[in-house]
Amino acid sequence: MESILKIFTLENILFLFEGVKISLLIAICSLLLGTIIGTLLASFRISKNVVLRIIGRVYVDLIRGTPMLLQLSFLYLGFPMVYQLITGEYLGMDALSVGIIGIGMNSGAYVCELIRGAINSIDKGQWEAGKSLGLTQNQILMKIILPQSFKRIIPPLANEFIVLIKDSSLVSTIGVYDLMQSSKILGGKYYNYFLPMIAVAMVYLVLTLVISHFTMKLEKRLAESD
Amino acid sequence: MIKIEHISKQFPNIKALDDVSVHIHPNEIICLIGPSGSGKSTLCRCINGLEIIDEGTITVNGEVIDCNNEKQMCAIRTKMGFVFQHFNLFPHLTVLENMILGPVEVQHRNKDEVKQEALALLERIGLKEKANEYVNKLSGGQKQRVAIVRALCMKPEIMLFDEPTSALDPEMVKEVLDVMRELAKENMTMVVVTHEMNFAKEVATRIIFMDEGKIVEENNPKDFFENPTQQRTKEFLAKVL
Ligand SMILES: Nc1ncnc2c1ncn2[C@@H]1O[C@H](COP(=O)(O)OP(=O)(O)OP(=O)(O)O)[C@@H](O)[C@H]1O
Ligand SMILES: [Mg+2]
Repeated sequence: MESILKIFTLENILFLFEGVKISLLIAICSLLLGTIIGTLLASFRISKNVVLRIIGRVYVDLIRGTPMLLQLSFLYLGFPMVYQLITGEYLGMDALSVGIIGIGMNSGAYVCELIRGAINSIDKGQWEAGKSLGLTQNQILMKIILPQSFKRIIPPLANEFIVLIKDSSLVSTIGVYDLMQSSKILGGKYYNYFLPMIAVAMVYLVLTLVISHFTMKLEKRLAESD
Repeated sequence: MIKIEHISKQFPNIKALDDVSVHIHPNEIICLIGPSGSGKSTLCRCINGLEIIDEGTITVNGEVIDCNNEKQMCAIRTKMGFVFQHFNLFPHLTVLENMILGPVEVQHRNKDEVKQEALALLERIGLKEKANEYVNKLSGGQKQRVAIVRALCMKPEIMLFDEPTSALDPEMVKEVLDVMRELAKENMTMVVVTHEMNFAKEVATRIIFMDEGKIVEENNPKDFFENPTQQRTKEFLAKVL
């Protein structure tokens, strides 16, 4: 009880709150980035152009087939070295940006697959009806398929957001002061890792449960409108 | 108008079309009949480029179809209306939006003008009050009638029907066939895959009987139904009539 009072002072709670803000910032920004990259990749993967299809495929396989921690470390430590070798210039990137870009690029692969899944779940007769009216492949996609896929993309995308909130904790390994890192710092300061980590776990849990609650509500609403 | 010459279509486990040739002339109404799996749908879909043929040529108004040429394919498809067994209306759009999508996006026609035409067509099939409903609210027969006028909105030169009444409850078959009869009266060129023998007898100018990917017999309806020459045709007719 004494140690609780000692650790969870107003100052330290505010410190943790800063961590929550950083974690959410990373999750939100990387979801946006991931959605942009994912949409682009999905259009590559269903394109008629073989080269684009291969690029999409390789990207997705590469990202999904290697650990995110490795990708993040590579972007932070390996990539600046390659950059300097090629351009001769020093690339100064702050850890937060690296975290957002790295997690966003990772998320892009997963978002790509969920968009592709939603597109493929649309009845093939819709494509045929579009074709029979003389619409081009792109017009069919934009006017017929994507508007119908949209409903099926939103729930898994919300789920991806939950995943990102948890995965954003990996940025603590490259020195970003996110929620995870904050707990480690507090733990170190008071030689007590147990309490800060329990507290942080509860914060993660609350965040993810709240979002998943809204996702379920949204899913119900979307299902009703069918 | 459309010349189909020696076309073949091989699916992984079956040759759906085997050296089929048909010439379709303006104002003709061709009914394609035959047992299940005989290749009727495949033939119909090949004309619209929904299936890619392996051999032979299809010529539309003197132009040979090249399925890999998207631009040409789109241009040719605007001249053909296709009506599917399962309607394939766009569920995220209203009846009216379903109808004007093609004319506006493909033919770049004036939206208000197309809307007026679409409403006139809906009025003729008695569905004007459904113009702003989403298509999922319609009955099967209504859906198929909307699918027909959606195709008509493109002002096609020919209409292709692939079993337009097979997915309907019996009581809704007539309302769809009536719309098709109307079209026949207006001398629309049509190719109709159907199991409705009475309809075929009544409106067709030519009956084509297919079996196992081949055309077995073709004739005007009277001679076809009264004096079939091929053994297989006789067997088929004995079963369905
Ligand atoms: N996409 C496809 N892939 C593989 N086989 C196919 C495909 N489409 C059709 N077939 C096969 O080709 C043959 C001809 O099919 P088709 O649909 O043209 O017959 P149909 O005369 O229209 O029959 P039905 O009266 O049952 O509609 C069938 O054996 C069918 O199983
Ligand atoms: Mg068929």
